[in-house]
Amino acid sequence: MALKLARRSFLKGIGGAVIGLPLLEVMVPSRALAQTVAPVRYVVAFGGMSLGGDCGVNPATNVIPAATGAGYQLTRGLRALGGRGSDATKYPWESIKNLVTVVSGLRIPVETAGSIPTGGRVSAFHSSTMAPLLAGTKATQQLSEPTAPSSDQLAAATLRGSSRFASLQYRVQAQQYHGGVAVQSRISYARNSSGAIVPLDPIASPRLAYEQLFTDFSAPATSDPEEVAARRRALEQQRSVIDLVRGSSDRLQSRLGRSDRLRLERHFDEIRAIEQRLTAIPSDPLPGSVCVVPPHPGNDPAATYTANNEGLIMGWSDETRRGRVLSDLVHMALACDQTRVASMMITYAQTYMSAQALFGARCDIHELGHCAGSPGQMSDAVSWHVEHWAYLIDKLRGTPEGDGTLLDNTVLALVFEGGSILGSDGSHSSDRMMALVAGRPSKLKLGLHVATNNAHPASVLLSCVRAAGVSGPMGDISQPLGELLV
Amino acid sequence: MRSLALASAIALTSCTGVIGDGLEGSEPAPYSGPIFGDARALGPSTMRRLSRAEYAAAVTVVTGESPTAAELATLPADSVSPFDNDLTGQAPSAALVEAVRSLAAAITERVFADPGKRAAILGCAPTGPNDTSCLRQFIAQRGRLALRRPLTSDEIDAYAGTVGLAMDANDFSVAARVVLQAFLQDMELLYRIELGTPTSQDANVIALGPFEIAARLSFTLWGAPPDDALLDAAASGVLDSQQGLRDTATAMLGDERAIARVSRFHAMWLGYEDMPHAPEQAAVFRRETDTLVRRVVFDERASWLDLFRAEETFIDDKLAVHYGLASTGEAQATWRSYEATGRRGLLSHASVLSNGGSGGGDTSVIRRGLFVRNRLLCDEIPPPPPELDVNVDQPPAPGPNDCKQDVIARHSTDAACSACHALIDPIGRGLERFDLAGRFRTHEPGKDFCPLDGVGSLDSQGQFEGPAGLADLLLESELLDACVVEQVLRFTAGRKTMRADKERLAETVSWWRGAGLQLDTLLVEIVASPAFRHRVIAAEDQVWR
Repeated sequence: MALKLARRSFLKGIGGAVIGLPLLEVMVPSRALAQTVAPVRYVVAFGGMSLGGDCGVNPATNVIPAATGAGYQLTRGLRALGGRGSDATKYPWESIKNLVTVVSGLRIPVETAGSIPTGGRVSAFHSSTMAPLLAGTKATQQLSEPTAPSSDQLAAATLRGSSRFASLQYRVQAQQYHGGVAVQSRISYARNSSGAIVPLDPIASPRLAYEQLFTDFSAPATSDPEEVAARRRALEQQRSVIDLVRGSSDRLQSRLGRSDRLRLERHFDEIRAIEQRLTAIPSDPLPGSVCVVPPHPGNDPAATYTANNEGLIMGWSDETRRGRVLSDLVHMALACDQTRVASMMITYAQTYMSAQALFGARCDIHELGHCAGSPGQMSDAVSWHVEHWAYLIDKLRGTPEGDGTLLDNTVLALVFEGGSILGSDGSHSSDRMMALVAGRPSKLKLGLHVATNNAHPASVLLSCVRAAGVSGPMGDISQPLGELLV
Repeated sequence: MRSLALASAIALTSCTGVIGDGLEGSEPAPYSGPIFGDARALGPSTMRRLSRAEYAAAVTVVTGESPTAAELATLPADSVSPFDNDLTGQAPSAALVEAVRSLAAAITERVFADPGKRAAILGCAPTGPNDTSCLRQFIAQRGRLALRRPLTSDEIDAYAGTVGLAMDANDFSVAARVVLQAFLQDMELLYRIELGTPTSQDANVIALGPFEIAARLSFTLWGAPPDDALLDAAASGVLDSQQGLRDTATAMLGDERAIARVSRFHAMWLGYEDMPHAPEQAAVFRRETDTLVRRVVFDERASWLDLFRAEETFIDDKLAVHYGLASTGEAQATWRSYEATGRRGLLSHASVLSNGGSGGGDTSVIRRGLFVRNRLLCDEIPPPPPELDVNVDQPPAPGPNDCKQDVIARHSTDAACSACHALIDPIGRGLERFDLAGRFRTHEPGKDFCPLDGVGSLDSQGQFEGPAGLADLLLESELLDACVVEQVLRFTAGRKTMRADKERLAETVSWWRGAGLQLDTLLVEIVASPAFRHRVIAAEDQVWR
């Protein structure tokens, strides 16, 4: 198709090289030139596992640092923060430990005698931590979805400014591999025009995510008149496709009843958003921009299946590579001011992703929490999540913006589905949860281990949202964690 | 044995639940057909997004080209309930819109890159880039398949405006490609939208037009949109009469698409669409069950209950040995008698027995029992009441020297537990001698000191041993056929059963028993009923979110 033609010729132009990428001049909105204050961004990431497990897997020794305050020691679960100093092959970046604050001792309260506390959950674990954790709202059932916007959507409403996408939602884990419960598959929830909370499904295909961000752009300037004409036609054709889709949806909308119209509201909005993006492609080159097109990721890694300890099947779709590609896309989307808000679901809640490719455990990550692996492997799985987040932080740190870096203007958080009870039945717990925060040092206190006394994890996300300049409560939670804010 | 149903209904009053919907009490209109004579009888409905499988079928119908598995995987995942078409899980999203946009471009590129496919989809030989007549013909023909209705002349004009692009590029196919991309992401293709016309009797009941009926028919019976022949039938008025609908449906059930649809219905319902086994092994297990379903439902048109009565099964030598039968050395799969292996019907199949895993590789007595209860008996067992402080996804694990039975002993001694667990655990226990791969065993894996007696019971009906014994009791209970009717309606409507549905359900089951319990008869009469030709608009917007 036309756009692929444009992309191919673009890639041909750079000889398919991965490094030394040219500027994507056209991607920088001209308004950015006039901007004197850099926009604030917010990124929330999620790992669908607990920190500790059954059979005595204690996060206190493997994940949570022993000492509090500045200069905490890295644990096995947090070693990715150490970068090269921890493992030069796996983490080829300078340590980011001093840029990250670890918040421990978090707790989502659990029902007692049939009554669910504020921001609390029912006693059954999977996946009742999702709504309290992500949006600060009660989970009255195991599969309750948030009843207020999630932190990223709270931020998106304020931060969008002139960026092209109000927010991006990505998921690294390709599929759940066993069954599929909606509430386990997404972390973003927005309020629609009728006041209802609607889920925002993440894009889990790196190829699709790439194409959403980059294929609507023409290639760098060329003087070849034939090439210029071909690109003009390609863009016109793309616009025509969307015009037709839009025209058809408008005709449909006018014939629908109220209930149907509301149900399809987001679809109509998304079509209009694509239309707007196609009509507002800036073409002014901006020398010296940090905004570059990452290489096309190619086809999505396919699923492979192996047998676990018990002879049952488990799946893997090279999520390590998927995570890198999606992190690169988040990085560039922020650098190019395509969006200011992103949610990155690294794994599904109760993730059934195979741990074999990560460190050879013949079980999935969920099973690691139930005695299937060694105690250290549980924290290795935690570390695999932290690794994706650290990689993104390192990218942001390396991207100049104004007098500082992109990281100075981006607030990041990483949260996990569960915590741990000390003892023999540890993994199904919302006690002793942990959150990591980074970025925007002018607003956040970084490089610390803050041990709280059962603070709500949503209060950490609320602190992050506040650090990004966004007001308002998050569900039932209205108080940020003072220790985190400058 | 109706007493069982009654007894169990009483016993279950505190242990079952259905969704109330406030629609009870509508009076049935006079109607002479067997079921769903009232236009409102199928209950409220709303627009539904195509599942991944349905979208793939739609693309294939429109273009002749099928999306690859990788392409389909870019669409938001279906929410499994256990069916893949639960309308409460079908909210629109950027992920959906972007995925279909990309898919539309990729499919169009593939079709037009192949001269044969290109000629086939165009349907006419363009005389040049400005051949408007060929373009309009293409638009009308493909547009009808994509939107599942004829396009108006205004619509054709709108799409034909692309001829300018073709002339600009000096390439006729540019216009056709732009149009095809637009069709493949059109909201009328992506959603099953039923506008209909309001009926005089009730503003919330709309009568569907012939093309909307055709779409309902084909998605229900084929899991796919209407093809040209069915759209022609709709256009000719064949679907306007009940006899016409019945004849059309009967003919549609003779199609491979119907066989695949019925096979998939059973697989989703009975939990073997997604088995925890290696793909090659799962395919072998799946074939065994598919073959039985096809034989009973389509080849023999026997009572649907024969699925539970079959004394033989279609297996190869390897699977026969796996089941404990003697090897014959025969390479090809054949129908083999179960002999004295304690097996009968599809409850004995490895596919069905793959349900109810503990999560740790072994079976869970509780989850197996819940599977039978929820899926085969259509009983919704609620989670333990909060005051018991039970974490259902963290059952106590037996220590290395304990047996499974030891850790759930409290279920029978503590009255607070046994109220519900008496309905669950004894069923699972009776299947314990068959592992998740359907193999026979006498002890817990790796624990010779934990013998499994494999003796279970079903409510007050008595004891049973293994799948054959359970099949006998289930057949006696006369609950299986009622449950499959409920599941068929659920799959058809794409939503859970509501309280108001229950009454119709009883009437339908009673009619179906008298009619011989053939599944195809049930399907034909559902789609030929007045209710199938109407849509009830839900009173509450929020019901569907």
